[in-house]
Amino acid sequence: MDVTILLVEDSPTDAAILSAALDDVGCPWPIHIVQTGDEALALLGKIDSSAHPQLILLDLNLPGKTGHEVLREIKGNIVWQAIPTIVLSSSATPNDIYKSYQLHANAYITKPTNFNEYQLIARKICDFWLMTAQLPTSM
Amino acid sequence: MAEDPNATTAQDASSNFLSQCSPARPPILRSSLPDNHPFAPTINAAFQALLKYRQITCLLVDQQHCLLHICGDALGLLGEYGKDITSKNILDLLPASLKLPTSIVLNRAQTDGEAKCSGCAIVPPPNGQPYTVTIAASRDITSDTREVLTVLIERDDYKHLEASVDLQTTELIEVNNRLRAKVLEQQQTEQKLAHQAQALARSNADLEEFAYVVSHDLQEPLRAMTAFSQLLEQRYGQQLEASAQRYITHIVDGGTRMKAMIDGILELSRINNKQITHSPTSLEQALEIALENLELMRIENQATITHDALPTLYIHKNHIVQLLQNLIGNAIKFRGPDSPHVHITAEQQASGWLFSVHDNGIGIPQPQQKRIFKLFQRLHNQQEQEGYGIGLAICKKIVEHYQGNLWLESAPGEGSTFYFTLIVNTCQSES
Repeated sequence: MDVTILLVEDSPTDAAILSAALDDVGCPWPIHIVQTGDEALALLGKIDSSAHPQLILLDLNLPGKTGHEVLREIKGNIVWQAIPTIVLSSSATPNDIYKSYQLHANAYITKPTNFNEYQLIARKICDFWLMTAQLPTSM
Repeated sequence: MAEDPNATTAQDASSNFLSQCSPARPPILRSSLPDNHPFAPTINAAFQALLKYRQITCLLVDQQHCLLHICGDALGLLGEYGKDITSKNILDLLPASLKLPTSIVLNRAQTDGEAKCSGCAIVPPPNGQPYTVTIAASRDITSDTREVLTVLIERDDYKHLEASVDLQTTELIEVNNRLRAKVLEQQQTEQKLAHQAQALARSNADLEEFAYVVSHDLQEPLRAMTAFSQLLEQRYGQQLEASAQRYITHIVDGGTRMKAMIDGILELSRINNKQITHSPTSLEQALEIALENLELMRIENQATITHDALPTLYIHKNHIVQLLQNLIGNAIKFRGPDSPHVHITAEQQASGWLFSVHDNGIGIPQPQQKRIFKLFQRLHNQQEQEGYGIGLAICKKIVEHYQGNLWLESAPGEGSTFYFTLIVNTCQSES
């Protein structure tokens, strides 16, 4: 399984917008979309650590386990905790942001309303996390 | 005795028999304490209370049975003795039925030192029940060697005491009932307060839930509308007519406005957040930050901003930055023909600070001055002035968070002055 970006997003429209934006900026990496936290954790548990995603984009407002709960499990797992995890949420509430970093999120991005801004964010994610930052290789 | 310069009226004497005796004439009846002893007035009061409580009439008479002093007449045997009755023979003053027994007791006391006679009947006034008394007398020598007789007349039965106990019991029951009512009232008040606290907690929880829903859920469909419209334009713009592109622009504008309004509501809901902390904040620094945020607008409008010395206050920094930024921003935005000039003043008052933000802008007509503090209320249409009607509502909420007020003085063409008070502690030194 060749998952490079794992997007945990229950809203199909939000997932479609981000996919379109990543497409538009020419992000060459495949995106795997799951709709719940449980699905994401199950997927991580199933695949070999060598095939782990390079980046997790995590929504906060998820059905079942909340984004924060999923984040806690990812960052509490000795193998998964090394995967850069970016919270991508509609909320700009200080509490949501603070709590995300407290749970060791690697970044917090507020979802814009405007598609142009979405494209800008998609470009920055690609440029920084997938092209600039040195990411961990599987041990 | 009537000429005795130290004789007093019976009423005076009965009210304070010890203190009436002058040093030149030692007292007739002595307490075991010297007159000047600090306890003497208390003992006297206790003695009077005893006479009253036990319903005893106590008299001092001389050897001729003439009244020297009334220590107390709780039984009211001497009747209304408003006038001077001292020196009168008590046998003439007492009720007729007591005349004989009293005379016998007094004579015997004179010879034997003391005497007593119980069961002497008294016929009371028409509405009262007859009762009997004990008459006791004892012979005493005063310190000035005069021989006197102390006469005590006391009721034999305690029916009057029972009545008094009944009365007191009734009173106690009443007091008890009143206390119970008070306790009940107190409990009801406490219950009401608890309900109110609960309601407040519920309302806060509702507000938090509301804020959560607004920040997470409400924005998703908005984003879908806006972003997909833009996507449509980007991908299929070539195939669309000019009017279709215009429609897309309207959808995106609407979405952008709604996003700004949602953000405004969220910002408003966060002002009273219980996690907000107040720390020493230099308002000079806060103003600098506010002006940095307004930099572009300032340059575009060639605005000048001046200010008095500003204090350092215990306040949430973001609050004061936002307050100043919104007020100064409005002052520049609603400018007149001249380049904007904004001046900020600060004045310490008894319980906080009064600030003003004065401008030379277009001013606000009196009838519309109240409206501007309400959420989403605007005085200009979108073409005339950009805005969402959020800034002043936020300012008002911030000021109210510090138990202050926000108001303005303005007239069209004459600029506006916004005033606000903050009830906050002042820091002594600039941080």
